[in-house]
Amino acid sequence: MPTLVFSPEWCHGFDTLLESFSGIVALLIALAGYRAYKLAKDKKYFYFSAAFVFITLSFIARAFTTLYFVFRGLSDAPGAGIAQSLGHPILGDFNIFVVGRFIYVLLTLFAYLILLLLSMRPADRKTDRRIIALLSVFVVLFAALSYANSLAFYLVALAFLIFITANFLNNCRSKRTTPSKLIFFAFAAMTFECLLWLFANYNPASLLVVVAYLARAVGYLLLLFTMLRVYRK
Amino acid sequence: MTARRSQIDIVFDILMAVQAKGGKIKPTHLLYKSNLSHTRMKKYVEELKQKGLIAEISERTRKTDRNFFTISDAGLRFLNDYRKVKELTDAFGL
Repeated sequence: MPTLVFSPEWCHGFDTLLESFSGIVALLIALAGYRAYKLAKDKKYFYFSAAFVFITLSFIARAFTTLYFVFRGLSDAPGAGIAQSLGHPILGDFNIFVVGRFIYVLLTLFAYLILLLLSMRPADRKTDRRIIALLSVFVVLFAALSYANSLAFYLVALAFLIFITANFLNNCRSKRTTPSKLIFFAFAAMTFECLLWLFANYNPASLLVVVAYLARAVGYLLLLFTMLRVYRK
Repeated sequence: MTARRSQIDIVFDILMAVQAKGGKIKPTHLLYKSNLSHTRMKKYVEELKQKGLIAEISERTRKTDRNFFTISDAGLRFLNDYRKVKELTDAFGL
């Protein structure tokens, strides 16, 4: 029995609130990245800013989709897939779910791909454009197929996040500064969140969902704290 | 081997050198501190003067007139902004 929203019904409201908070933090980082681009005129800062704009937009898409179904009272609509084939009135709602989910997955995976390329060592950063194009094709494919099953999305997102976090660990070891440590822990929390969603996918009503949301809250709180620490000096 | 400094890093180093000397530095001292050739330092200094980040002043000592570079308010603001940007982007390994 498929549900039309991203998370279990009992946590609606809390998840939208957390998505709004995460989106605001991502937007603040995007603005800081754009400021860096305006100051240094270096393209890497522009791509960095774009990655966080994508994350912000992905949270907006996710929050709007969830809210739409909550207000329509369709959060537990059964058999949406069957309804689509039978031309049931729910068809329009199902399409909104597919588009919302597609935008969310596409933007999140593209943001992680950009962050992965940027977090590499400068010597490794000049990755062959054909490999980037190939990865982009896979991102679009996974996004297009994600409405049927979330598992593929969480697996790909987890793979990206593991590599990003490993790169941030290397950066934190070489820089040894507090902000670099905070960024590493923030992304480690997000990786842990993604891992939990993989398991929570099989049992959406479990406590894993709560822990996953808490892990994301910790991750974005650490990002916000890093921003405040740097900009309040 | 350390990576080549970008133009913005060089500008930052020049302004830092002036600020570290209390906001006023002799051209020769700036040459040592900025780690540039004379020709390149002149080019950067001209650009910074045009943008109003530093100014060249002349002070009369007992025997001769001496030139100094001073950092402007805009220069101090730039230093402050860039320091924050650098701290954040360094944290992300950019």
